[in-house]
Amino acid sequence: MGLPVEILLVEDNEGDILLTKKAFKRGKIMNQLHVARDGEQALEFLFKRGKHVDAPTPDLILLDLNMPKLSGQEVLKRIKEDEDLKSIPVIILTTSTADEDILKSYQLQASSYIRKPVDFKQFGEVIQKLQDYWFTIVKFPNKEELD
Amino acid sequence: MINKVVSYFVPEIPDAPEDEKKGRIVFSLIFIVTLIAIFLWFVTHFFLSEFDNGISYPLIILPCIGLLFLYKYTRSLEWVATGLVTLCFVMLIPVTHNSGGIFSDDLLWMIIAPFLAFLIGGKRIGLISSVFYLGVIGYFYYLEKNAVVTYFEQSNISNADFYFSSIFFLVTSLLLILWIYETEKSRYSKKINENRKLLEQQKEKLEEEVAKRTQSLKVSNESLQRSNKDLEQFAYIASHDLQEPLRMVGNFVQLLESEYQEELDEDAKTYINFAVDGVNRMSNLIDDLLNYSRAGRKNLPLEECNVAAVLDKKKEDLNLVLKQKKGQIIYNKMPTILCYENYLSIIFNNLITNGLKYNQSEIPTIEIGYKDEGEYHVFSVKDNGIGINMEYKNQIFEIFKRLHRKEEYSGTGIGLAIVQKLVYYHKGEVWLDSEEGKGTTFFFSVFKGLK
Repeated sequence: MGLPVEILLVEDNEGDILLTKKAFKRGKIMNQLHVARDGEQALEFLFKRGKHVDAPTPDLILLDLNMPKLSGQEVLKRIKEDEDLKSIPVIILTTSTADEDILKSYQLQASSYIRKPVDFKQFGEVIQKLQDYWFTIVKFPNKEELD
Repeated sequence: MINKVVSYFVPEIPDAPEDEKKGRIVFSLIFIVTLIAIFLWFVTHFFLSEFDNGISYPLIILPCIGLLFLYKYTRSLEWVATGLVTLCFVMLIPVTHNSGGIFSDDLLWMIIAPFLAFLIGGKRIGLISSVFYLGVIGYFYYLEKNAVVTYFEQSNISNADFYFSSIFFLVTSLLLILWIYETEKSRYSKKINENRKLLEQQKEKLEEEVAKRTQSLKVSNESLQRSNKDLEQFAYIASHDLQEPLRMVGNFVQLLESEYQEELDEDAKTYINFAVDGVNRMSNLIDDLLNYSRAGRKNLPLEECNVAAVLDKKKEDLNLVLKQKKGQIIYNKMPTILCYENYLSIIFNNLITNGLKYNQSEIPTIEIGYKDEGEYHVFSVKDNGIGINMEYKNQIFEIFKRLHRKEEYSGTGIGLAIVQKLVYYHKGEVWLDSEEGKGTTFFFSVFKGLK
């Protein structure tokens, strides 16, 4: 593992951003966490527009569903419609446990759906498992070939 | 004075029925006729004694006064009118006979009688009088034909006059009858039309009323649906938005604990534990609130479901718990019933897990039974658990109602509330029978006629 893993966190809640950063810092895997504060910023980052011209293509996207302006589901839809972006695994990370939210996310081809725990220890475990799963077990498509 | 006399016989009532008003007019007429009769009697008797025909006129006074009293006591306009008409005829017949029979002008006057009868006594007496009048004409015709010396021969009436007057009488009588018939018919059909119109109006009114009711029912139904939906929406948003700050509290308190471990003493850690515990419980409560508000919300299909299969599946799901508690679930023959299978499964799930949870027997045992009770299927879920004080038999179905401290038995107290909601969804009831220390039996019914 030479290069750090690029992760895009799309999240409007500052507390959650801090918590996610903490949890990732505690993890074993070297990573670069980028943060987009709402759906529009996320799309700018992903499509390398505006000040994000030099943004890297993330290896993994953590997406919150409830956001101002563009909702998480809308962002997910745009990602999956794009030829270059659709192979990036998107993990929904949210407070909602509503059946329809979960179903809709999977219908839009989210890779998994994780509920944010109330307990920080649990949260740390979730992030840990996420890292283990996506960066050690699963093999990613080769970025160079995609470009 | 006329009015005074009339009032004696027919008292004036302001809103009297139509007949009473007619009665007053008839009486006025009769009274005037009586006065004229008395006047004629005087004139013929004292000044024109050679006018012998007039002698009989004043006799009218007696039957007239008789009629007045008849009305005063019977109050029947029909009777009095009949009497009056008969009187007219009786008075005119001898007069006509003497003055020329079928050629008499008096026969023309007689036609007034049927008119009068019709106007005063109504159509029945009017028609009878008309027929009677025709009979009288026939009678005079018969007399003329069979007389030894006819009026025709006595006088210088021409043939043409004879036929003219005969035909005139006949035609007039027939016209009269026709006229009466037509007026009555039109009056009758007018009345029918009025009735029909009235009926139609009432029908329209009724339909309007029904439409109005339906509309108001629709409106209240819609508002009910809307408020139901609002409530669910509220529960969803509340649970979603309430979770967020709660998560912040929980997570950061823990972060505080983990990052400042060295600086915190034991007390501080206890406080943090309480805070985290509180946050966790509140989070569970919010989740359950959402679950409760959603129970029975989905439009599941109504289907024939094999209850034994549902229970088999449940047994499988609870395998782990059963092993841990060394428990068992027993049931014999179960029917196949029309129900919402998912919901039935949740009902059984909550009752069975409750039975296992509140149970300290060596072998926690759940027995499930079934009874066909006419319009309802009745299921029972019996356990050998700690039992419930029957004082609380209604309270336990309330949302978040718990009978034990959280240290004794965990849980939020949503299970039975959801059971009740889902049983109501099956148009049934849920109740229980329990003895503390021995166990509890929950019963619930499912309406057979669900659609």
